[in-house]
Amino acid sequence: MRGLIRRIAGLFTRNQRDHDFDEEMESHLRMHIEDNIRAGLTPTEARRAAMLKLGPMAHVKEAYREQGSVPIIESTAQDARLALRHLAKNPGFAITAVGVLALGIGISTAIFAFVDASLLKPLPYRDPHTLVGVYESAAGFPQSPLSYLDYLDWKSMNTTLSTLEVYQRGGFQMMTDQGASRASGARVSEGFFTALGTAPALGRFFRAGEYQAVVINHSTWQQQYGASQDVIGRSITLNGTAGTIIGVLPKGFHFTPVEPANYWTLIEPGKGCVARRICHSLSGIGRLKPGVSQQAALTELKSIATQLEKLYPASNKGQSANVIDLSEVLVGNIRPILFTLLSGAGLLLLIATVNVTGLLVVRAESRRKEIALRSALGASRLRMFRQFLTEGTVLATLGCALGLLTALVAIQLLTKLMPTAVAERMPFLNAVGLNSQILTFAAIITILATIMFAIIPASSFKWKRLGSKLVAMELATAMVLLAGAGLLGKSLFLLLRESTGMRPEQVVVLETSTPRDYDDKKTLAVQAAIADRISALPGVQSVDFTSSLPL
Amino acid sequence: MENKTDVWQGTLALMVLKTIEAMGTIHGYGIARRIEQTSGEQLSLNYGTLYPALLKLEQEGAIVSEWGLSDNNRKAKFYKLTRAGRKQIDKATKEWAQTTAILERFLCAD
Repeated sequence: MRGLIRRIAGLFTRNQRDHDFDEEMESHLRMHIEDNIRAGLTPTEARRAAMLKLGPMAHVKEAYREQGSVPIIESTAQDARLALRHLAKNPGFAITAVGVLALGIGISTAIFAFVDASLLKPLPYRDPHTLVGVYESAAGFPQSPLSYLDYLDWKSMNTTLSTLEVYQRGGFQMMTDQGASRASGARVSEGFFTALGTAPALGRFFRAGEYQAVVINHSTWQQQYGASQDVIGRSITLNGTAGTIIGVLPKGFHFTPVEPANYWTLIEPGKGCVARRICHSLSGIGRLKPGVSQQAALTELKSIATQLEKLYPASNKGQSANVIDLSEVLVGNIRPILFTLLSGAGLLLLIATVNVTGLLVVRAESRRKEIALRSALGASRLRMFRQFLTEGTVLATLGCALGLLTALVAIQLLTKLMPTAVAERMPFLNAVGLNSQILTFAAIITILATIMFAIIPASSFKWKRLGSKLVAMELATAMVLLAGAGLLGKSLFLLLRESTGMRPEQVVVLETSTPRDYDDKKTLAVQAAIADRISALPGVQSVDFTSSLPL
Repeated sequence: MENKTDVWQGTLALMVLKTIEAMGTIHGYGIARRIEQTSGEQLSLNYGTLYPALLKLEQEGAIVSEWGLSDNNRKAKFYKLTRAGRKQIDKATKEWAQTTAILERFLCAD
């Protein structure tokens, strides 16, 4: 081990060692010659005898050199220098090959970074694999929201879940000194944060029946309350009801289905939708008890649903249960889009490497003479292959380095391209960036590309006439891949833009809300007034109201 | 000449170490001459093969080298044992004794 370290260190002291060796040999010979002369030989004979006894000098020197460092590293470094010289001599080839590779590696790494941030990273909650999404199901509606009363029954009757909580997205109307404003938020059952395994950054979370309590998220605490410690206990008016801030969520906490959510309150039973068993408005989140499978939980909830169906035939006819992975709830909708993008990027990368391989094969053809000469001078087949491998590594490494830079830029660009509203709903994308997984991904790509760059041009020598055919083959493959990538792009376009049967052009949406204590008559009056004012604006054709948007 | 034996693989290092141990500090040429003498001129040794072996021992930390002056006031590189070198001698000597003892049993079996 110690010897190996010294030998590797020896890579950098070669000249000094050579010099030392020469001097040592000289002193050795001089001493030997002197001894020989003393023994009665003539100076010429003495010198000859000493040289003979020392053995073949070139051989000794070679053995000494090999012992002094690690020959395989030295020759590889030599190959790498040769490869770099080749590249520098053919700037056209170098720029094309490295540029194409950098683009391919960069784009696929950038897309992979998004895939990693949204699909591969574990969910940011305690024991995420035991968390499940809990829903009701009905004919033609496999994932329908829970009604509050069904939820209460499920919660008390089930034995497979250690906890079952519900949440609902929805904003508030907030009264401030400047007047009424809209505030994003969510309503949850009291054990919600505990179920996720989240601890408050400040204060505490809900206790049963604290319907006036408000929890705010970290960014609201920072921006609206200047991160002040005495935010706990401050009063806040949401939807016309006075409430008190009791806690602040930790930094980086997000729960995708309700984001953006700045203010969180408890679901208040006995009012409106929540009071009716037939009104379904909540999503459930449960934690499986240790050793319980998702399937077992589903079976039990289904049987509970059947009991409820018998008890409340009017509201629960045909209502069953559904249990899915929490990750499906959080990122299920963007999964197909990301996978399409990743496949597209993969195809792009394949085109890039295939094209560069094509260039290498053509270049290998023109290097036939050099190869023949080196073989004639005694380079073994393995040695020649090692040269191709080193050249491939140099090319792929340059491409990878530039590709990582491209990836960094592409990630920035893609993140900026996303509209704020979309970005707010995908808080997990805040974490997009280069990490060890992504670097590993880039490294694997680079190694695969290297292998391709080494094997194909090298084998084009073995099957002599294959060379030119390979070029044609590569071109054909590239065409097929290009067509594939084009089709993938089209699928992506269709995925993002499903036909809605409406003409959304020229339509703008304005959200309005009225205080909770307004009755229908008062609300209608406000709406009529708003409609009048808006239609008076130049360029407005028609105005109308809806409780929920069709999209 | 025909009666001289070539140096066996792996034994050269031990001979070199033992020679340095006996002499204290010694240059490469001295080691070569000494090995031949100690073997009673039974060994034929290309002096050149000594130097890669010396470098290897130095890399392994068994010996250290230093430039100095010989008896005849010649500049030469001198080698000296380290503590690790002494340990290596002990270990190799034991192994060698064991090997020869085992081999002897076979040779004296009949």
